[in-house]
Amino acid sequence: MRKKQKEFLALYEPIHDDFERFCRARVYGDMDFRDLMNETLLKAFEKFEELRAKEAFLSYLLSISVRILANNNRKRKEESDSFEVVAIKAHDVNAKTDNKADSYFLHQALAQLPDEQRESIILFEISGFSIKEIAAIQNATESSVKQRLRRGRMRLREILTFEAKNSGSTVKSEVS
Amino acid sequence: MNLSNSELDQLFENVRKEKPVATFEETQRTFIAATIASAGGVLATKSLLKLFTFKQWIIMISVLSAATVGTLLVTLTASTEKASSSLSENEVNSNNKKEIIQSDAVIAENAAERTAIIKLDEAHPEMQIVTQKGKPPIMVRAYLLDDGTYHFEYFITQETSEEDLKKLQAEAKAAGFELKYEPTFESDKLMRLNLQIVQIKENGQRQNIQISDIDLKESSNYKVAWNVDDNGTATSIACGEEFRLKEADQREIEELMESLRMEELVAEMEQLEMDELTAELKQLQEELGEELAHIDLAREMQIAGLEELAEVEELVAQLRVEEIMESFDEEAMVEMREGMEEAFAEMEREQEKMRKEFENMCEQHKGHADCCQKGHEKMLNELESDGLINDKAKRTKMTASRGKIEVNGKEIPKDLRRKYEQLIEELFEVDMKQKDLKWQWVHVCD
Repeated sequence: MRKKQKEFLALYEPIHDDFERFCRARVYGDMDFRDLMNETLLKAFEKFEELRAKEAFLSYLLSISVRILANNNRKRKEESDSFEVVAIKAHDVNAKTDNKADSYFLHQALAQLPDEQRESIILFEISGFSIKEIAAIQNATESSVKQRLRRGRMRLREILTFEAKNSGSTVKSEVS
Repeated sequence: MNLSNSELDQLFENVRKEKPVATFEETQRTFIAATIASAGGVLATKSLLKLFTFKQWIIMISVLSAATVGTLLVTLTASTEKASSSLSENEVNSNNKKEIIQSDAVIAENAAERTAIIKLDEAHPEMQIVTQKGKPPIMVRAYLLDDGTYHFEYFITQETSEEDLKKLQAEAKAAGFELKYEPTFESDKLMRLNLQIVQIKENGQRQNIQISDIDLKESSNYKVAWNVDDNGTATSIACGEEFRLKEADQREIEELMESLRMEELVAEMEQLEMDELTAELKQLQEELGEELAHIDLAREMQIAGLEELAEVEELVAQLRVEEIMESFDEEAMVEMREGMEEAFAEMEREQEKMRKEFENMCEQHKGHADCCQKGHEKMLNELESDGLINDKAKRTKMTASRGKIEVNGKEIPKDLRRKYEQLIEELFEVDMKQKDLKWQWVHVCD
């Protein structure tokens, strides 16, 4: 057990930052990214013996995260199918430094994209995966990943332009 | 102005360079804790805890408390004995060897003072202890000749009176030094004391010892002691709390004892109804014993099952079919054969009966089918003759509902309706006067 744990953590340490960034961006505003990280790590640890290529450990973790989130979303959808939730979010932009504000706005904007689109964008733009790799992680075709990226970027530009215009008094409403 | 692609790329670049919020160490800690929990660590502990009932915990705690108190008492006794100094040790030794002489001689003016003179062996003089009746020792004078000197010790406590102090002063004077004192009494208790000791040495040098503001609350065993030579002159004078540390230890133990609140503990233990608890424990023990017995029984049963199986297999292996066959009675075999023949005959009879019944049914069915066929033929002929169908070899559909009769989707003329109602009733045995009638007939030529 301890040997396995050590081996697992040794493999995880170098990719921690990338994994953390993905989780944080992916579930921004939805849940605590630490929960996702921990759940993913536990699942990965359970099936660690099945891991063939150690160099693909990050994509292995991300695939697990994607599956966990898909399952969670399905469950959540089943539970809240009958009603629509209107959430109003207000935030204080002045409390952030420039860089943090950028990051904050980007994460906020990403959170408004559909799940698969958001995932593709994060994996491509932040985690630096290729389209082929993303297709494998998301269990989708390369063309659909390309489409998600194109539409996602377009939508992000729209959202961020809108945010920039309203950044003086950033109060927006969204329907999820 | 819209956000450009390069600006968006820059935003992503910033996020890529961002330091992680959750550190590796933090994640590692959470992960390890989670793996331990998922491996059953916490759950295992919890399930172990469930084994103990609340009452069992109380008993365990009570037993532990009692053990602690016992240990403390032993420590306290040992400590007290130790703290009693060489005087007590000598006393114990003398008890073993020598008699204790009670003396009613009044040394001090205090009438209540009593003196115990303990005679040591021949080589040693006696030791004298001065006490006050009904009170703990407040002054002890010891005359010892262990190193050729006498030793005097005076204990000053809150119980020390003005008279005691005067006596001490007199003893000091007799020993060749001057002792001055300034006491502070509160409700007959000595609370504070200033002492000044002045000794003139042989060379005429004056030694002055001044001790101010002795707090008798804090120092409950303050001592003034000196040794005297053969001439009765003090050779060395000392003041202070020789046993202070030991006393302090003792107090701590006493305080600890008080904090344990023995009385309450004992009362609680009494309330626990020890008999009931003991009975419960016994029952638990018995139950456990029974369970263990069951486990053994199950194991034994398994073993027995296996043994049984082995026995059966052995028996089967030992079976000799030929011998068994030979062992059958011939007469019985004949009887059995006859019985079987009779059964077969009966079966054949039954079979024949059933075959006949089936043939009859077939005949009836055929008649009915023929009848139906003839009826269908008649209906088709009539429809054709009335010009309601063109070719009776083609598919014909006839329906009757809500007082209407339709042939291939067309309603038949009113003057023919009665005729066809009668035909349907006759050929298909349908009650055409029935309310909500829905009848349909489809004829397809084979």
